[in-house]
Amino acid sequence: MFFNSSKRSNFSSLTFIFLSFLTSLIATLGSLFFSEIMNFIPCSLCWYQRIFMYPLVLLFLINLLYPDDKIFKYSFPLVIFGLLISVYHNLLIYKVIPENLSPCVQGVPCSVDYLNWFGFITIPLLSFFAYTIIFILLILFKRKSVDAK
Amino acid sequence: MQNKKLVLGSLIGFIILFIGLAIFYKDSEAKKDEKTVLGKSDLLQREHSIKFGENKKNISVVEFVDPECESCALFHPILRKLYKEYHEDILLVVKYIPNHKNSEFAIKILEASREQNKYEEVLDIIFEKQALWAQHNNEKPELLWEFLSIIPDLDINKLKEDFKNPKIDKLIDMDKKDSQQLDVRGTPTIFVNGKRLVSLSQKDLFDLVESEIYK
Repeated sequence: MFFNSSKRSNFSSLTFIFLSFLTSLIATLGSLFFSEIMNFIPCSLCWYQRIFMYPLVLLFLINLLYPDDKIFKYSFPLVIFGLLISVYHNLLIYKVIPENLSPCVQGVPCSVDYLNWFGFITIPLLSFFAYTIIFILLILFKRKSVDAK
Repeated sequence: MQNKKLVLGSLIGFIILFIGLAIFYKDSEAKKDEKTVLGKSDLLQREHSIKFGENKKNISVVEFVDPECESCALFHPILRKLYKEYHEDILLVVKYIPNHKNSEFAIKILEASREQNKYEEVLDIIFEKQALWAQHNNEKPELLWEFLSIIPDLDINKLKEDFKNPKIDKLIDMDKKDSQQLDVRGTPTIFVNGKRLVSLSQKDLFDLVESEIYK
């Protein structure tokens, strides 16, 4: 693996954090592109997912620049909450939960999908993918570092 | 050291990619927008809309405005300046998008004032006193009648009568539909000869108008 750090319990585990960093960075810039450049108005659920996604970029970045092995503690709770909200949002989109239960009172209703790539990829689904990828990477990271001890 | 370079490199790489894509996207959208607006340019200059200027150089400056919108009030002096400087060359057209609670109320007053040729004075007062009558969560549109009474020779009773003219509702409705067709969502939105003003600054507005004048 391409990472090397003396403070790490396991060198290769940094790769997972690097990949998590890239995922959160792409998710952050992507969501900003949708709202700021393409002028899609984010619904309230989208905002909650953003709130839990954006700090991850900085957490992972700082951990990569100044490595220690405690990153799991700080990042995992954020990922869990973000993932839960995104699951809920996708259930709304796929009409598993009826819209009138959604907390979106003002502005844009949460079950409106702005984009539809290949017939099934919507923005909430992209969010779900991002959270799931980071979730899995963090679990793998945790396992590796536990194994190493 | 190696990994830090990789991390920072990918961070900068993605940010550059983001900016690049943003510029590319904006540019292609602007071109597309110009085409659609060109195809619907008759919507910009409806017969019912109020127009100012001598239009010697055949340059239309169309503003979508909302009397209750703060940015519109802030931008109003800039448009005044533009008009003062180029009123011989341009045709200034005002269209409405009632995005706020009392927008329609203010638009109706404005349109009613046309009957007495007091449009500009009324618009000035509406924007000048906006902070007082259009405070969010504490709107008092009826204050406008009082504010307007300082305009000399303005017959408030007649204004109140003209205010009820159903013609105005139709006009607002038509402007609303036009704005949807032209994909105008925010106010103020300005078109100069069908070209959308991208950023709301005095310099950009003057540049755009001047580029049309000295074409």
